[in-house]
Amino acid sequence: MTVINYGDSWQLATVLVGGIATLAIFSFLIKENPVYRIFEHLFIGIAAGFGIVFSIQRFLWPNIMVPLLGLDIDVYPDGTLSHSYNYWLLLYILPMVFGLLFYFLYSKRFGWLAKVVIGFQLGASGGLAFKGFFNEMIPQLEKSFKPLVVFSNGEVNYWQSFEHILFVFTLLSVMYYFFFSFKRESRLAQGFAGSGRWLMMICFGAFFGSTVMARMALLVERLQFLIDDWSPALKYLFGA
Amino acid sequence: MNYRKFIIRLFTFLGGIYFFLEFVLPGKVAGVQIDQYHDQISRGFIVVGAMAVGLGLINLLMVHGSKIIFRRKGAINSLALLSGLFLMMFVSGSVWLADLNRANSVRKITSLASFAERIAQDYQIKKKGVKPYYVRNQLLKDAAFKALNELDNSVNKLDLSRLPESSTDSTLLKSLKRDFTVAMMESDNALAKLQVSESDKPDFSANNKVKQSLQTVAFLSREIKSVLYRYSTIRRIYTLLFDGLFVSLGSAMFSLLGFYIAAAAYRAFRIKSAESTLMLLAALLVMLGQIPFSIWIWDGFTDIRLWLLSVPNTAAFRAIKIGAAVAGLVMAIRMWLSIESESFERGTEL
Amino acid sequence: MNLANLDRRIVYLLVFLALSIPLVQRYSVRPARMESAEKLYRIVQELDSEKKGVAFVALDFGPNTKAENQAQAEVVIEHLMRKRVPVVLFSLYALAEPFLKLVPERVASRLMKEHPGEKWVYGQDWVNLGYRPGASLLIQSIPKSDDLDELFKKDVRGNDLKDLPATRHFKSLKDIVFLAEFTGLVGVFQNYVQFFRSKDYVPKFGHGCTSITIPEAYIYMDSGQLNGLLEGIAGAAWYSELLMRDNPEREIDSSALINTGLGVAHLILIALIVFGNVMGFLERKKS
Repeated sequence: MTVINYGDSWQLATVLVGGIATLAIFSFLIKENPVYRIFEHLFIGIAAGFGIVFSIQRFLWPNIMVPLLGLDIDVYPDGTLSHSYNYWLLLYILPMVFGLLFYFLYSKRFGWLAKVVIGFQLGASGGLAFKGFFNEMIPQLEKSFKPLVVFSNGEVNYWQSFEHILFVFTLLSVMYYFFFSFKRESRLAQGFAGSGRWLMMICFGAFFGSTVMARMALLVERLQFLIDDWSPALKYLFGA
Repeated sequence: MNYRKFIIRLFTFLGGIYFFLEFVLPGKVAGVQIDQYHDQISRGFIVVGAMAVGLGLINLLMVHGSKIIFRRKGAINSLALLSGLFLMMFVSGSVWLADLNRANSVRKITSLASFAERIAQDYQIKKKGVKPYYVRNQLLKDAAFKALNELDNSVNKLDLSRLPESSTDSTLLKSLKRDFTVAMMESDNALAKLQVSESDKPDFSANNKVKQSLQTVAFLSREIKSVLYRYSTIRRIYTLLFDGLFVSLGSAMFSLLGFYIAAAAYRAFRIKSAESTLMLLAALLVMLGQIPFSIWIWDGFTDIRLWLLSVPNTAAFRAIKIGAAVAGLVMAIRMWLSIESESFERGTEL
Repeated sequence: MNLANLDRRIVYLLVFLALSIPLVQRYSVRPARMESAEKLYRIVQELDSEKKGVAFVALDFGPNTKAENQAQAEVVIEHLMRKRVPVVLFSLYALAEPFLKLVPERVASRLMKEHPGEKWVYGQDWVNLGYRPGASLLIQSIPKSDDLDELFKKDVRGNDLKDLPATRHFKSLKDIVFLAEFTGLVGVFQNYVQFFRSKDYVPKFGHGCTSITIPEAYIYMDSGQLNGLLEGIAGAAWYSELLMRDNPEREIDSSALINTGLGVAHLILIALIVFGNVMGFLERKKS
């Protein structure tokens, strides 16, 4: 709940507009209508406008343009400089010019040049994937080798051993279920893959349960806004 | 293969080779620290991507601008989109400029703070080609007094009446102004203690104090101005657009999914087979385990949920994840080596 | 009326009414216990404010998932601020910008209200680095840098990081004692899992996920790549409960209220599933 100072007309207007925007979107639940469409488009416009200015403001200007143009150099009262200009920075002009090739996307004749830069970006993400894969997956694989018999205080811990066996069985059978490269002809293989499918259903069930919480949380937050912020603002506006 | 295809494939390969080598090679090769420019190189890669920022704008203008000009179906929606776009660009651009102005208003002070530190450093490293420390201190002192005076005047001239009385911001502003006055006095005192004549035992402790107090003055003056700026018309329009429209519309659109999942659960989540029964059972147990009311029925639901999530779910999800990650890596390699480039290269004259 | 295929708008209305009632009545109950949230709580509790180092908190969410992520970020930042561990806020997601400013300010003002005479101020208790583009490329640069002040240079307000008390000693990855990340975007979260580490040091990592990604987050808990987890709003509500337990003077926040509303939503969903199945069964029997 936001603490609203109703005497502040801008704050009041912001809350009121927020409520109207929320209801305009909710109106879609009854049926598709022009009010919903207008607000939907307004949302896209605002998001795009914000994003464009923001990427310049937060990256291109402070990280590239300011040092490139030497705007971060201070002249001290004795005429010395805070730091001298680093001519290596001029190298940034290369990626900037290279990045401008994106705009050939609109040319039929030179469209291929845009593909050079898009390809470069794709290549970079491909190169990055190696490190990402190993950093992420190695600990995952390591922790999958669980001991199938667990001892605690010198005795077999049956429950934990069962958990580990179930874990490893689930992991292997679900992986096996997704091996489509060869035919599963024996009954054992079919049964193993089938049990993977069954165990996946538990995972999907858990996934559904979690999805319910996620979706409903968004709805509860909006309803809370309408009840706690918007309706008092509306009451204030009409003097109730 | 024609030369255009070759160039595209070459650049695709070059795009990935740095990160690949950076991963497989150690940081130091034959005594040379090869990853010392990693930050700058990464920034170069980001610059390439950042240059695409105008693409979105051009696309939106082309698609929606033409709808408006030729009054096609949905022109009014396009008008709403472009109005939102330009209004937000103008307003957030203005807010950014105001931020820059605030930073510039204290630039002199922050620069003098670093000068105070530089004087001491240059003396310690016996830097040649600069004036003696006491002459530089005198220059620092004169410039700082002048800059502080100008800053004090500009802060005193600020119109505080914009702020609603007894608001939290008004209390904050009062406290900031009090701190600002104290910091100004501390700066004056520190400046007075600077060694401005030659001494057998040069002491730079005052330089350090000058640096710190000037930084505090600059910081506080900017804070005061930013609190006041929140009440300027343009900032308020920004808040109205951002909080009132953008945040509300974004949250509301996603919250529609809450209604949809309820309708879907009612109409489609039916017991039709043993598998769907198992899925339903798992879903119900997880849902019961995460709500506060389940404890009224049975306090074991929380533990069952935890077990379901951390044993069968984790194992099955990990299996799916491993499969997806391996497939992702293979795709990445194919993309990098342009093995998967047919669809990418299609559609343009090559 | 065919109850097995009830008009979806009636279902919507039912959901709307059932959810509104507890919210209007301001009815809230104790949240369900979340072990993963307790793990996160213990990590923050064990941080030593006397030791140099900051908590790096990434708020990678926008309006779409603020319902869950904002509540999570608030409780964790509150805990860090109570412990006087300097918080460095950051985001890889442009739309998070207003939350980077709003969340710590709200927490600080709540704490100052709770403890009159004590101060939580910007620059000392928290610093906002703002949104930074570059995603995985930027995250990769963090462990490689030996001067993080230089890598990030300025905060969102234009202050030099080396001039602010909180970030004066912000040099390398080892100066980050704790990493917390809040997002609903799995791809963004993976950037931290993959790259926020060096060969010899990985900071303790706590994550606040939206509920939809809970099943996936558990695989990282099991592998030890995550040390603590807040599962949606339910996780935030339990964390808030733990804060209340250790700080009896703390005012109740809205997470318990939302969590109760969410509990009602779950009950409605369960009821709808059961009802839908019964109706479907009866219809099948009839036909």
